[in-house]
Amino acid sequence: MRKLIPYGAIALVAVFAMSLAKVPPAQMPQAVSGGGFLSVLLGDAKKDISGAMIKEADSYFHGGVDMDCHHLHGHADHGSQHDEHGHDCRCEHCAHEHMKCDGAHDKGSFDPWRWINERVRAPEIERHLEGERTIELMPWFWAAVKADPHNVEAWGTAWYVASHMMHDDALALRIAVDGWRQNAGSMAMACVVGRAYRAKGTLDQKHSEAMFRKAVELGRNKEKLEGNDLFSFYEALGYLAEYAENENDMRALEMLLREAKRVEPDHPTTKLIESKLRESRK
Amino acid sequence: MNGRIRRIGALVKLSLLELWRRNDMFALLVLALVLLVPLSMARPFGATGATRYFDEAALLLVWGYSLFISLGVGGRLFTSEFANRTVYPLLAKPVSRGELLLGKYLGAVAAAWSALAFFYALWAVSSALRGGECLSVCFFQAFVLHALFAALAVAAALCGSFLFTPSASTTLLAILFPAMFFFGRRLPEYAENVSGALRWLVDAFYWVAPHVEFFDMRQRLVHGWGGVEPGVFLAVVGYGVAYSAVLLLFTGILFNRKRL
Repeated sequence: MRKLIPYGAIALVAVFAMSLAKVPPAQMPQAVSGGGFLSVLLGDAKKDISGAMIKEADSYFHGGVDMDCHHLHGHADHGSQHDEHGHDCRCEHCAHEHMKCDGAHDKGSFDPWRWINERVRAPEIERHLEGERTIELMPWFWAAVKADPHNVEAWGTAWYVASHMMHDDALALRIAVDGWRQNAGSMAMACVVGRAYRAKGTLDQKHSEAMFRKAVELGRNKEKLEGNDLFSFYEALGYLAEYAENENDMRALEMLLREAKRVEPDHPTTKLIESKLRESRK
Repeated sequence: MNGRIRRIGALVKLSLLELWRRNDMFALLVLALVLLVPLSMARPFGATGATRYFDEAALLLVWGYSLFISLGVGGRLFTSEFANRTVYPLLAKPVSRGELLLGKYLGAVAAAWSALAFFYALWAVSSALRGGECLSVCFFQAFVLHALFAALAVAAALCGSFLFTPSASTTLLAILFPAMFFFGRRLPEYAENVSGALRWLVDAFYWVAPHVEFFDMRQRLVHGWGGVEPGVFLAVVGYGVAYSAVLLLFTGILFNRKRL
């Protein structure tokens, strides 16, 4: 009887393995997202690692100081707002974050260990990497997108740094195109590529327009547009309207206005396209 | 007096030779090369010119290695002497227990410092080759504070070897030191989030535990913040010397009470 136990156990394992093989991979409790060895080994931890790399890039941007201000976060998402006034960090978001940082240091009684720690570590003052020196951030963005190629924020922020801080349009375009290759269904990524083709050094209106059209098309296929997708949708419409206005293409403007009104008739971009159309008709 | 210095000097020389005779250093060097050479060749997004990430990774490795070496040499100082019973012929010579302890400790510190100097020299050369600024005031301060960390770690390992078994002592310190290194300055924040006896414990631990994070100047060195103020530097030096001295004194009491 005892001799049969191992055979019974093997049979049980075999039956279990065969039943597992019949379950579609997507219905497994822990489906592997993405391909490759890292995906199998790390699973969802990749996203956390990728996020930690972005945080490290933020710390490097502040000269190695963890300011908890996350200046670099969200630049891909609301990049066009920053395009308007450059990254001078006097925007409401950044000012608010700095106030939070300053307030964190008010402590009561004297603590010698804290006194030493605060002085040995770099002072938590506002100091940012600028210009070509922002190349120092790139290894962390690279690590972030290697850990999780679907981290659109990392791709977008890397593009922003290359384009707006390093002023290296070729590098920025390379990053944007690589990011698009990994995230072909992302509206935000399509907008990033569209904007990368608008840069002086890599100006290519045909490709830029195609990417913004792709973003609009992706948005049209979504059941509900909200959050970053909604932002990207109107961002793409805004740029397309600009191109149409430059070419005095009334028909294109009318189509864009219809598209904009369909989702949010009162959106600022809808109003903007409306005014552009009115101007063009005069 | 001269005789005492000569006796201690001989013990220092012995400890120093022991480290360099072992193959630990060369194994660590090979490991560093295996990790750092591919890292130095990385071209993120095809762009070149980023150096800080490499400097930081290299310095972190130096910190890890110095901890490994310090705990190793400190923990081995008397354990093997007791196990092999070689401590008896040593004490049979005109050497007091205090002299033996001090001589062996200084020897272990000298060994740890020589390894540290070797790794810092390599770091400085690599930084200079990449166009970085080395041999600055900040570099000097970083080395001195790191050396004090090594002295403290040797003292702690030596003390631990008298209190626990060698493996238990090394394991405990290998957890305590990195924990303090990364989270030591945040202990008051953790204490604020707990209540009752646990809060009291965290607070007490904050005041008593070795604040090895004081000796970490990587951030200033890598990101070019410059050196610390002389007063702060002296305060950290004082802290390191005082903490090591207290540990050594405590070890001396344990050694004197130990029945051989």
